[in-house]
Amino acid sequence: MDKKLELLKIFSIGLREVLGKLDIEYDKLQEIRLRVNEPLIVIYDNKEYFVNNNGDLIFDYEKALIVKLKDVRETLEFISNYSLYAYEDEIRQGFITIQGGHRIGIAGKVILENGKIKSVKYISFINIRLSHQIIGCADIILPFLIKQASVLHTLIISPPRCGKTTILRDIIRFISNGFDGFKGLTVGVVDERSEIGACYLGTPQNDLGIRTDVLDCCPKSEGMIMLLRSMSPAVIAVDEIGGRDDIEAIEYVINCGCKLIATVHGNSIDDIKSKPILRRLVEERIFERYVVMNNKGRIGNVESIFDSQGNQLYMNKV
Amino acid sequence: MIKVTGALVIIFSCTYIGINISNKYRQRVKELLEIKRIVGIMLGEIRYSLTPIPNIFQIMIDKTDGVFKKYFIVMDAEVSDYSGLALKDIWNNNLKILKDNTCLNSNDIELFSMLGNNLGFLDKQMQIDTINLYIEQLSDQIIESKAALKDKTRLFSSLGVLGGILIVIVLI
Repeated sequence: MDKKLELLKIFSIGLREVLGKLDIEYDKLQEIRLRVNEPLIVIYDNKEYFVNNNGDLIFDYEKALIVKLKDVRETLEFISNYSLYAYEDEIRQGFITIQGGHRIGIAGKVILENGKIKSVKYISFINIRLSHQIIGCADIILPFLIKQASVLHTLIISPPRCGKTTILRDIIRFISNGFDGFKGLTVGVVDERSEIGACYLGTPQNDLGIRTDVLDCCPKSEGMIMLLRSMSPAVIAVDEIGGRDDIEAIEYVINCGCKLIATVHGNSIDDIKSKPILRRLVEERIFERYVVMNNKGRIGNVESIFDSQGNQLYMNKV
Repeated sequence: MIKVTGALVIIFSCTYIGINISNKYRQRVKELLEIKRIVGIMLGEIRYSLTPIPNIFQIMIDKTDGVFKKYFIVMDAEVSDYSGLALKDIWNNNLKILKDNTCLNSNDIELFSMLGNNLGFLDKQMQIDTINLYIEQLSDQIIESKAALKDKTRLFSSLGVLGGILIVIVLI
């Protein structure tokens, strides 16, 4: 299905009409934000715009289209495929992944039960983050992640919205398919938030390569161990590590001889060292490569690559 | 001879009409039982697999026949189309298929419509409770219709024959 049509079908009729008039390149559309009684906002080509009734991108919020409660309610019904109950677990985590791999963040009134989040009611804020595969975006860094036909334990460090998942996805695809004399390896992906493979009904919507197995919506720590036991991967890939359980699972994976590629929120190796849980991983030199990213110039911009000793192997001058 | 033939035709026609009406009551019970089976499958899919509504419709297409299959084929096409209508509107707009092609009465249709109004947007437990409530109401309808079935079939069959005889007597 056409990317534009695929996206438009999740909106209420009113919003569909306006967004359908947008004269933009959908590949550059990053986010669409709906807030009840607030202007419709889109993030396009790294810039924030408001949208008016004629479907023009404008900077003046007073002329922007105001999103109504009805729009949010209807949009939610289409996003959830008329089945909000089927996304209970995802709603508890604050997001839903839909066909095409787009991630829908939601916020509203949180319902607690025994001190834990049970559900979210009166959802009034929706953030649609569009999934864009950038095939080949990892080709510059790949030679640094491979040594003697083997993949090195790699940690990708990046602030939010800089494309770490995009680059991780491309690395997975390259390793799985093989490239330039490198024979493809079996890759196991633990996709806790359905961002990497963007699985819809269990099938990845993004191309993760021919030798990739995906555990969708599975907690990382449990998923890594499950994959090791069940699918015997040569490489395991996970997104956004950070919990204590994750670290224990990472150590287990590494001790089993399996290679690991992970991402983490941060700005630099020092930033990672300042986080109590992650510090040990750096100090014990568990990772053999650190890829530091930023969004200067473009999404997915690799700033530098370091080895386990902290020696810089690559630096992007952009 | 013509008179006798005419009288027999009238009696047989009225008897046929009577039997036909009583068969509709029998058919209604069958259809209510079929709806109960369908809703039971729906409940299982939601309770154990959290299957989304469009997928439930596809499952129903495989697991039903006749008018119910037709109903779910239309529903499946409309939810897949993302026409912009809410599920309850799609559900209710297509109830005409059941009204026109089944022996369900207006009460049965209304109850089925209420189920559609509450599908899709609640959490799992609320969804299960809604369906269970519907099954309970449906079971009452089935018990009621089964209890009335014997009397109604006897009544309409007899009425058919007797009505035919009465017409013949009046005409003679």
